[in-house]
Amino acid sequence: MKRRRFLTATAAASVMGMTGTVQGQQDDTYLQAARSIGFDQNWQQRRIQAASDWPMEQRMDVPDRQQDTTWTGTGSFQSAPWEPPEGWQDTIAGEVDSIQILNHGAANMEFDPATLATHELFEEKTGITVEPLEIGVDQANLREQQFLSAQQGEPQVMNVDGPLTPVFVQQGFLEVVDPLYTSEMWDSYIPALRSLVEWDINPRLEGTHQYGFPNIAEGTVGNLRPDLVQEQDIDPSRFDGEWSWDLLEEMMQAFEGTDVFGYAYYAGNPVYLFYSFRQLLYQQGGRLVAEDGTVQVDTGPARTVLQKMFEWRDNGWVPGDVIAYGEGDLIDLFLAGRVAYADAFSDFVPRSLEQYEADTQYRAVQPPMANTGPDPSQASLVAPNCTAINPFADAAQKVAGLIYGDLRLSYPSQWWEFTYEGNLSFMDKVYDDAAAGDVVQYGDVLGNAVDNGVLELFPQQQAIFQRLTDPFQRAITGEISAEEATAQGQEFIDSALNQ
Amino acid sequence: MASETRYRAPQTSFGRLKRRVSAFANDHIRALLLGPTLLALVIIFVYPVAFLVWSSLHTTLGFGLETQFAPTANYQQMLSDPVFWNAVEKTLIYSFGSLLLSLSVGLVVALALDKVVRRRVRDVYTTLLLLSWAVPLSIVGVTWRWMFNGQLGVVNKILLDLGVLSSAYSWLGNSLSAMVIVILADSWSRIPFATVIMLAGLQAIPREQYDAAKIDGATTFQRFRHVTLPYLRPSFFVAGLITWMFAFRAFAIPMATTSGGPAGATEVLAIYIHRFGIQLTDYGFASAVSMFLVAVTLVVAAVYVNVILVQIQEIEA
Repeated sequence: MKRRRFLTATAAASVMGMTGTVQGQQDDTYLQAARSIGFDQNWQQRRIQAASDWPMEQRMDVPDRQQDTTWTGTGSFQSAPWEPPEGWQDTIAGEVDSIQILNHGAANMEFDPATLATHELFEEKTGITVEPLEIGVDQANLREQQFLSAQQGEPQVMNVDGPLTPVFVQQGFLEVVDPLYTSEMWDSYIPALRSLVEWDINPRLEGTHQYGFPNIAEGTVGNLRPDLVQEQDIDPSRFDGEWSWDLLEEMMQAFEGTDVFGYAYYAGNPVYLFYSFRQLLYQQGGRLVAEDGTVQVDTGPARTVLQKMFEWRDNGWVPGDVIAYGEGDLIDLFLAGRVAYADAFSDFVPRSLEQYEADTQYRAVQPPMANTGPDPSQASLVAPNCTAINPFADAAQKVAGLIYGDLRLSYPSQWWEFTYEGNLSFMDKVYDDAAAGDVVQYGDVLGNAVDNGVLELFPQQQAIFQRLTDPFQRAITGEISAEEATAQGQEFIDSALNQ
Repeated sequence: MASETRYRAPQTSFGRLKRRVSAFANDHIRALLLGPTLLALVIIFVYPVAFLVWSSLHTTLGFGLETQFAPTANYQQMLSDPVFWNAVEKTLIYSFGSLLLSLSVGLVVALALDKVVRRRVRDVYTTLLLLSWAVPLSIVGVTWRWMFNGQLGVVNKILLDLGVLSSAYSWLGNSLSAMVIVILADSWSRIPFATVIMLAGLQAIPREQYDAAKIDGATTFQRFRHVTLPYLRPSFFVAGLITWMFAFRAFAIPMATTSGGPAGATEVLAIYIHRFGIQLTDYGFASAVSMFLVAVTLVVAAVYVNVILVQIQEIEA
């Protein structure tokens, strides 16, 4: 009996050892092949500069979203300036026929047309078929955790919800994609990209590595009703360019006694409370993640945010209901003409323009900077998702996934995301060109907002925001002081993150 | 002999199989009839409850996919969490508030309906009343949320137009009024059920009892106090028990109306469980709180049923 048990244990250990060895060999093969391609050579010309010669009339020859189901017949698709790096076909990726990509939702003309364009361009240029696996984001989070925990090799490429990225990196669930990036590359992209994909928290690897490439991004932008502020004798041009909380508070006061509010924020649930909280924190130059990597909320700027939120509500400058505002409430209020200025994600701009006349009734502006804090700036909030490679996938398909990543980092993919689908672009040049060609209304404002966008992600972020909601809401309603709220929050964070 | 030959199954393999199946069915008729029901019970009740117990004894790691046996950890965490006790307090206020309102209003409406002489008219009233019961609870919550919206709600609009309010009141932004509103919304959806149960109870009271009390000189209130209420007690308790049990476990209305806010003022236990189980995927902890919820409900139900049985015996005696 003992002998049988010993043999069983030995066999199991051997299998596990072999699996580990195979995985290690796969990693080596993948990285060797990836490095041999030379993604970092000529990247600027291939991904960005080639677009300088992309004629605007061809770019704008796009499909009809209501009728067409593919991009392949359009001028924009056929002239798209991206080529995979030379020599990729001589590597193991040359043997790949197809890759499966988990997309958050349907990658079709109705719901995700820019992703469809990218998939089709990838197929056209590489001959590798894309098999989309379409799962809504909420379900996808759990499904990804399941197949990655089971070390399943499919899908080979997957979209990853932004806040989950560090969680997955910590668990060794995302493949390193270092060959895609070079240090000088970051200047061409919005700062949030680096915050999203670059991590040093993988317990299996030392140092800083990159773990993904762009998927989609949202960013906050200011939404102003110039006609309403004009009625209160405030010149709407004061909101152009640089402005601060001084003007915000002046506007709030100006609307006192009317049935319109100057400003409103979200405080109704953990997700939305922390949209408003973080934005007001970043506008002072405050941060949640300190330089030593610890998460800190018991700080001056954090206390200032809670104090301001309390004062504005207590003074009646914002609706008392803000404490119950979640998704949609603020938007409804703005569209009902009951609030003159509100921060919202950029996809709200086209919706506002459907209802209000541009410039006279509605204007997208950069959010204000704080009038206090260590480093006030007109910061906005960026909420991106990334696309990453499954570390348990076959080495050849992982290399094919990198080529897909190269396309995701390219100008045409980012151009379509911004100009056709209305998502934010990860690439700065797209905003400049869109503004120069007057392709997207308020495109320059969106570009500036996202350029000043701050992204902070840390492990257990959602759980921490959940637990912080209670003391923070109590501070906003005046039940406890801002100092007490941040101290309670910090106590929880320290125990949860063991810091 | 001839008849024996006529009824004997043919000596084929199918015939033999048929006979065996028939004999097995005759011998195991109870198991065959009850089996599917018992199996369904095991699948939809026993297994989930057993899994709930198992889950509550394990701490959850990594999105609920990995667990670690720690039989007391979740319960210790639950009992030491002040937010949990806040949720218990809010649940008791919410459930007893809803119970009180729905039973008292339900009784008044049932008494009024009982006085309607024409049966067809009474049926129309009852049907109309039941419509509010048919509205899905989440829709009830959203409707009340919009009615009491501080800026765009119809309640503030009416009160401002009537001059009752000088400025818009933030009903859902205030802890006390938010709790009152979710209780009102909950009881609004439960009043029809209480009414129907009590109307049935009222109609079962023998008319002779009222006639006898009237001959003895009893006033209307005395007839209500000494005839109606004692006879109505079982209906009252049945309606009360069921209403309270649903209100104690309520999720849809408080979630859709206030999401548990402001600042946890309406965070009942079901929302607390949702927060940990669904939003944070801490299934172990959420299961422990669910066990608490189930245990309290069962204890109260047992006490209530006992009281009802005693009362029925008293009436029968």
